[in-house]
Amino acid sequence: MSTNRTDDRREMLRVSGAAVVAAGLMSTSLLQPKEAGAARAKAPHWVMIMDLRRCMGCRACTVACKAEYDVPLGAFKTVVKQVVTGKYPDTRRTTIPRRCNHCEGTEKVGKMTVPPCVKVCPEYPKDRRVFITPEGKKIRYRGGATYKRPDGLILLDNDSCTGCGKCIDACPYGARTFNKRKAAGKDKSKHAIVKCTSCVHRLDEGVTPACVNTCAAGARIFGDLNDPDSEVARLAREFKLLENRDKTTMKPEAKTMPNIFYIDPDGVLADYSFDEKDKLAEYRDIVE
Amino acid sequence: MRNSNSGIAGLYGLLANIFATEVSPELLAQLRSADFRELFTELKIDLGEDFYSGDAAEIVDQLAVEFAGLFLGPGHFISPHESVHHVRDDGDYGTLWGADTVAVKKFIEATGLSYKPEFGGMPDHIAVELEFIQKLEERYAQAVDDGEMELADNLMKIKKRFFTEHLLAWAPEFLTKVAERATLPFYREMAVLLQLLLEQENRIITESTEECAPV
Repeated sequence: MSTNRTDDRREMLRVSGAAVVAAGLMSTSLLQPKEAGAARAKAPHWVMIMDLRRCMGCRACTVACKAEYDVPLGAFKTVVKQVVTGKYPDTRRTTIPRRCNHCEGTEKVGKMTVPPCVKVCPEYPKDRRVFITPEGKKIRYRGGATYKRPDGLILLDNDSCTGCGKCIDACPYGARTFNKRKAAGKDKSKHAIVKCTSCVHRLDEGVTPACVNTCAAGARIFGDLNDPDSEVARLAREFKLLENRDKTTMKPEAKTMPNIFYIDPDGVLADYSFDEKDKLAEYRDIVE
Repeated sequence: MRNSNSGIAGLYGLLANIFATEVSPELLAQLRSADFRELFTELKIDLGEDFYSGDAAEIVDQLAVEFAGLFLGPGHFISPHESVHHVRDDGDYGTLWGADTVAVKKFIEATGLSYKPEFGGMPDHIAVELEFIQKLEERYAQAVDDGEMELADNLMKIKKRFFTEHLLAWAPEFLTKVAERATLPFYREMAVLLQLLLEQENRIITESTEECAPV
């Protein structure tokens, strides 16, 4: 291309835009004005909704999680389980994605309501921390080896962890396990704990967790329940997820108030069970 | 940016359309219309006689195959995302969902826009960045019409920042790759067109910055 031709084109570009508009081109539509929501001083309430109608058991979530965190061999932070329901010849196989439920909990430690794993942690509550909401409000809370953030995430701080494993025993879902390739911060002779952190490093940067991002079927929906315009709030209203916790959450009898909900029109969750002693095997991904 | 906004938004819109997804039969019909043919001739864009006289369904297919080969894969394709191409000092580049993906998302959301829930792509897709500039230019034109000069100045500052921090930092190199790899004239010419547009915009931005600079 000669320089002249380039310059000619350049000059053309300055005046040609009008012609494009005049041609009445349909426009792309990837962005939209942000809806002006009422200013919320509350912390977000992160929840995930697993739409069992959509999950096809591809395990892209498991792989994305492994890649995001370099999860050690033999440990998983999220898995896809299968449940077979009905009696021959009228049987059906459903895939159930699982990860840490980031439970609300029902037991109090100070002012914070915490789930069993946090309650039993001997290193909780420890240091004082501050959570800053998107609107800039400061919420004070306490850290620990395992602790609950005001936005509902149950997180780990390996520096404070003694590797006692009480949280593994306390979790009724088996979502926690030892990381055999990492030492606990306070007792190097013990293993560190590994579990889903809901991709807190991504959330804090404003992007969705890796498993949600990669889910091709859109079976994992993540968002802020405190935002009435969010997809999760809409689905929660449509499927009455909060009102029917005994049918929309895993193991409701454990009374942990999970923040992972399932859209389960066929009632498959009721048929899904595992023994307490086998709970750790639940978080092994075995393709049957 | 003085009065260079004479419908330039439309050009960004056209290019955002073309890089966002495969050319639809409706878009092809528009692109083959007399108005566009005249425009392309004016811009010295040579799409080849086949583009205008060939069977529409066949051309839509060919363009879809080319689009997939260039931007989607499988095999060697050119990822149309900033975080893959934008070389950063901190070394966080060369992958999808890198630091620039987050930076672009935050930048766009800070201006009061958000991604449509049905948009399943990544926040730093070339089409998103082009549509963002399109929206800025549209708002700028409106602000100038309404005599809101302070707002117009601010919008141009936002555009300059986005251009220098993002679009110009990676798109020219990406477009060179597209132009080299394309087998049909369509994507090659569109890549060259966008490259020229960015060059022109860069020149205008540099000139306006020099004008403002203290002597």
